Amino acid sequence: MRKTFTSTTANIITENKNSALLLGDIGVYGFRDILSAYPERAFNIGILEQSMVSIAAGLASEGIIPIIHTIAPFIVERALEQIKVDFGYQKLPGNFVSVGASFDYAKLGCTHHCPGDVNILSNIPGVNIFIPGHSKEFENQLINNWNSGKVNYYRLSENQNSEAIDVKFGEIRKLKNGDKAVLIVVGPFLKEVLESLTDLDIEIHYCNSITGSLSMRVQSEFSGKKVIIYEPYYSGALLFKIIEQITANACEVMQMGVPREFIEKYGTYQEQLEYLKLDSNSIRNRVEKFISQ
Amino acid sequence: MKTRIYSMKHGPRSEKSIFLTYSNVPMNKNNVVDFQRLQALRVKILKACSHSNEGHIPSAFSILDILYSLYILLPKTSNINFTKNDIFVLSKGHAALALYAILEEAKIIGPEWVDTFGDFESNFGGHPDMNKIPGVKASTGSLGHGLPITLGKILAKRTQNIEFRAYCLIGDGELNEGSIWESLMLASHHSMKELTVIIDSNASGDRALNLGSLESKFDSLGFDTKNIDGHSHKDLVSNFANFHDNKPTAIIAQTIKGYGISEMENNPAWHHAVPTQEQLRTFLKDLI
Repeated sequence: MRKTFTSTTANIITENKNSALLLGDIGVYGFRDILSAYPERAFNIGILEQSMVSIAAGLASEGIIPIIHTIAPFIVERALEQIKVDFGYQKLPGNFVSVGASFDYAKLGCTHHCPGDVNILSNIPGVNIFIPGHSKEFENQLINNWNSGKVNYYRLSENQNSEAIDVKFGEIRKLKNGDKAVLIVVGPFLKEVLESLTDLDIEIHYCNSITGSLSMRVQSEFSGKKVIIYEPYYSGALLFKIIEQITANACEVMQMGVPREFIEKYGTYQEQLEYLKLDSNSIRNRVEKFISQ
Repeated sequence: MKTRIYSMKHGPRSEKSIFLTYSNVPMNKNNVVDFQRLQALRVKILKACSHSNEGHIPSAFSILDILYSLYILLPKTSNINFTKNDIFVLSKGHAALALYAILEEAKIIGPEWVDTFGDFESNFGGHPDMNKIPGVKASTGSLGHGLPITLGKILAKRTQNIEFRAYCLIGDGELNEGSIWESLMLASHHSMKELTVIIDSNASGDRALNLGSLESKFDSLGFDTKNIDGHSHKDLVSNFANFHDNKPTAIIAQTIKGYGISEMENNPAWHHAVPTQEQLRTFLKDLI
């Protein structure tokens, strides 16, 4: 996804004089040609995320649409108030593209983890969140939304699904029918679902975005089925968007997201998935147990 | 006539001692017509505060001469006019009452702010909202945001190949914020010659951190730094109109918090206080 981000953004900067790129000293080598070709609109701002976000808002206030990039916790958590006030409250458009996701930087430890980003940003009115499961999905999301006039957050992952799914912004698309449960999976976790759950008698739905203000709807009759929500970050953001459907159908819900604890282990992304019981085998066991109760 | 030597009150900030500031006799340093206009603006600010039982009066009075010089006096002597290409951002948004008063004086907004300040449906709150008020370039209030926003505006304006100047007023207490120092470094790195940072040096910062010499700090960051009397229109206008060819400018404006009403001056009890009706009558009598 990072390569796609670099090439797609390079095209946007090249083709649109009302665009700008701001890097928090991350991705500088990949963007070296763009930084060199467009020094008036492409900047390695440096390791000062608060100012980077406010500067981006200043650009947006004068009609230049910014694309801001660094590692997830440093933009979402360190500069949260700048995103809230300078973009959210001031109603300015901008694009925040993060890398690292929940624990892609497994070996680097908790300072570089950001499983809270989606829920945190969901608390800022109007922020649209994109959780692409595939680089092609991200490419479409960025191309279609960078100049949408909204605040957009794109959560890039090192791990992705084998194929892109054609799903619209805010859409929850049914991939498979089934009678015993409705499972909704977000972004790159579809890979684990396709590896371990397709033979179960469950509906499988997929989405790769959380809308800021629009409602979201699961295309399911529910009919007393249990609901499973499988998210690659702290649970909660998607359930909040569909809670009225869930309660109207009196569904029993199991959320399988990143647990709210500091992951004080290193190793690989896969090892962390297994440790958190979010890997293919673990989710199979959890889903089977849930639907058989 | 009351005379005060403010160097006595500002021990840690030796730069302050270069000015002998005389309270309640600003006509000594400024044109009498301008003095009378400013007294009228102070009256409006007091009435707005009294109307809403809200407001940071001393912070507004601290910067009133600065804004008057920038919006009213500077256009008379230069081509700088904030209704066109130039930018002013009030980073210390809690001094919004001064901005509202000056925007009315500059005929950018009407007089309604006085009678509606802080009302439920009002456009005029305790901090300025750029989506509600013409002439307000950033919705400030949380300190440390206005300066980097100004930098972003400068970068955007540069792409338009137009001549402009950008002024950003920050408080000396606001200098506690890390984002301010980030932005000062960035302004210098990007040779933002279009930028004038005005520091409202009213000793608010001394409550928490003694920053020592601001002049040497801004010098070392690569700014063309001026240390002036922030209540002298002549000094303010001449320094607003002059700037370095390739460096950002910093104007350390030595001011008095609550300037114009002796009871409020440098009195921390008044920072976010509103006068009683009796106090209001006394203050208005003094001002008119």
